[in-house]
Amino acid sequence: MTRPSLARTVSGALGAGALALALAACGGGEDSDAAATEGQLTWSYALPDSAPVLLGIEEGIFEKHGIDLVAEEAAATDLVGALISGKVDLSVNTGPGMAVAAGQKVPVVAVSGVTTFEEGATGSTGSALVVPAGSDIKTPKDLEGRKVGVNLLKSASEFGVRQVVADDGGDDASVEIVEVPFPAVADALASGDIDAALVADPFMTQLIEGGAEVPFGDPIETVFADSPRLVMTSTRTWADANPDTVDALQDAVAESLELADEDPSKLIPIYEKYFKMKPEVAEATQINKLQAGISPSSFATINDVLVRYDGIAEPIDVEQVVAK
Amino acid sequence: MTVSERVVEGQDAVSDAAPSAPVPPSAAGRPRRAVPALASQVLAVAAVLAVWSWLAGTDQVSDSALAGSVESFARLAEVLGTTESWAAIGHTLTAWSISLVVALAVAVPLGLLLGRSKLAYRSSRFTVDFLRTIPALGLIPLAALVYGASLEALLVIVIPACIWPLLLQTVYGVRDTDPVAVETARSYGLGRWSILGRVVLPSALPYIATGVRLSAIIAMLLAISVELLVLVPGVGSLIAVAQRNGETVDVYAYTLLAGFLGLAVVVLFSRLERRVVAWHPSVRGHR
Amino acid sequence: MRRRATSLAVEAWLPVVLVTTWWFASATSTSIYFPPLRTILERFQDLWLFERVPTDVAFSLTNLGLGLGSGLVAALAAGVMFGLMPRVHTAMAPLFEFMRATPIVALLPLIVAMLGLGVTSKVVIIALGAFWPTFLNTVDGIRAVDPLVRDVARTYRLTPVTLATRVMLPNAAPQIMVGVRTSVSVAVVIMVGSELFGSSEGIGYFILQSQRSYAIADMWAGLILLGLLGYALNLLSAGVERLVLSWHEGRRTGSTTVAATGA
Repeated sequence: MTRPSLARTVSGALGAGALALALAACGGGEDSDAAATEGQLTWSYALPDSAPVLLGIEEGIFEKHGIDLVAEEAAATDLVGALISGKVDLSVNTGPGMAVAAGQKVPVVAVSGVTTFEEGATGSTGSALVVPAGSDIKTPKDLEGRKVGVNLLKSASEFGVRQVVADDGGDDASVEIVEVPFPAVADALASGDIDAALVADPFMTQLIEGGAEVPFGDPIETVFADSPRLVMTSTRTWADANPDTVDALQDAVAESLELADEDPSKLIPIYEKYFKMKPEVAEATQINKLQAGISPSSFATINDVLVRYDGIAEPIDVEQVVAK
Repeated sequence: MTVSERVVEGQDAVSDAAPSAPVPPSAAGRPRRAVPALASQVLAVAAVLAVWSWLAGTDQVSDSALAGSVESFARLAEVLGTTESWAAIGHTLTAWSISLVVALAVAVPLGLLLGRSKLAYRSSRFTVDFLRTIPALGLIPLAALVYGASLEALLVIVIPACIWPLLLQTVYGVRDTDPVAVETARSYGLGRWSILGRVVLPSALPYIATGVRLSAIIAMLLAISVELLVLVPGVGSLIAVAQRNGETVDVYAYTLLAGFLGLAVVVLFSRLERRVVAWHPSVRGHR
Repeated sequence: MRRRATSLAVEAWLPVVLVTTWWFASATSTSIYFPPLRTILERFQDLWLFERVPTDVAFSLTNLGLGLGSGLVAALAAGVMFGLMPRVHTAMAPLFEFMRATPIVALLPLIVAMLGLGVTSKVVIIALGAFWPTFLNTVDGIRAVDPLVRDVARTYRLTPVTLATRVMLPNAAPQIMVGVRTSVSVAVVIMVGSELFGSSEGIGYFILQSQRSYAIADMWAGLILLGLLGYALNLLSAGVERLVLSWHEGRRTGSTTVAATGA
């Protein structure tokens, strides 16, 4: 009895390979099969920060710069896959996300900046750390020994919360940080599952209207400030092979951002169309500070914070993550 | 051991409409009791909707967790008037049908081979057993990484999951072919392919029909789950977007839509299976 | 001895070939997605032997055990109940079919919103997934019990509990076990799914987190663990089924219920 079952277990374990091979066979084609017609570029966007660029597309700014950009929505948790496999030519990522990717030698570069972590023309970043009404949490240090919900672990959210606690002289290691999807925050706070949560709109506004308090603003803004938040990305190979297109993209993005900065209300129909937001939600959506340029120093804070919290093993070189 | 396992799975497979299994009393009596049964079903549905409504009305459950039944169905009717939801339904059905067709094209020939050849069967046993126990949803991060939020990512997860039940059903159906029938065909001078096409395949058909039913429902459930978790366009991604925007009523409306799609597949393919089984000569003899 | 060796060779050559191919084909791989198998196995050893076993593995298995256990018990109880009340079952059938046809993963956010983020939500959703296959098969199994057996039971004036545990459940055992086997595999899938949404622990979470931070060898190591786990659970449930069925066979020698003829 033992012999056959051992044999079965062993060979069964070996059998895992077949799956890998099947997947390898399917995924092997890393050469670009970006479907688009000749000259057309596909861009997978995520997060409302992408709205100014979408506005630029709608207003014909990209067309004016000779770029036929087609936008499709990507999941915020997958910003690299479609790019590397050649499904799309351009994608988005966050500054800290770029650093983590570079740390793992993922060949993705930022073509242009879009937003920073600072508040924008509408006067808020649209995210904040909220606590239930009457909570005794007043300062970052008060988070010591408490449980805080963020929507993504090992990301700017977690690192931001830890860093504000440390900056306030608290012991950030004692803060327990758990993953809580935004829609679940209200109930988790009410039931005492968590003591505080980092949330973004529309949930932030809903929570504040429901009586939640914002004791000390947005930790991510405080910590990462002028670091790039949303950037437009491509693969290193693509950026190197298409320097003129990269130039044109940078110009078009910059012009789109100017337009959005002049009149942020133009973004409201964009939120409704591209993010399927209801009018009242779109109306209340905030936009961060818009900035197309990525300065060489802009990854300094990201490097500091991510190295401290093991997001990356060593500081990354800005050259590594910026197209040029 | 594995053989016994297969045998039982085969049993399961046909149990719903099995030729040899006792016909459940309700099935036999359904025509006569049709009207009261329907009435009781309507009553039960109404009762559940009422409880749901009541629960949503009380403060027991927070509003962000539970939308009212009336609102949810009203919103469902509303969204069914939009091209957006029909486009999503189209995406989901496309993904579903591609998965099913590819699974059929792979699993049935492979099943015929494994069912007819002892060597092939025993050689592949470990591999098949191992691969089919890998939880499909665990592949989501890998598929999303390689393919992004695309149809390919969905297919890489859904197709293998659809292949396994079909493959096992086909193998079992083939192995259950009456050896006397095969011998008779051979003595009449039929070739290997003729025997496969004229004797083995028809005999395995009821089992394959069950496999198709199982795969069809698995494909629908998994397709919607992957759409939801990876944001591949479809009914699942509508649920995900509604969640992201905090639209509880929309979440319920689209979840109901997903349920109805699944229900349609269950009903349709159970009928189809019953048809095939009823048509099958060995069964006609039985009744 | 020789026959055993031959038989082993027949059964093992394909997995061996596949893994060897994987090993050599990936040895010099520079693809981000497909690191060398060697690297993956090294990570496997670092991660799962046994550093993360007390955290992620224990977390997943505890949820699985609790969810599967409660789901199966509920399914058996409800299955017997509805199996013995055909009219009530007929009335409820459309609702059951609808519930079964709704993707459980879609309910996850709703259940999290109702029950919070703790393990309760995960256990409940696993239980819900495990419930349907066993429940539906139990109902069918009970309803298919030979009318003669029912009549005999009736003449002995058995209490409902005795009727259920002594007559109905044993007679319906083969079909119930089919449901249980399906429940086990569904439960594993749902366990993974539940860890892909709002989780901070578990094997599913680990795989997702590895992907998010581009630690691809770690992700593969997690997948291999998941495969091994699924396989082990399948062996376990097959063993339990065999046990139940051999006992069932023993009880009803000569019965027409074919259970494990192929063994």
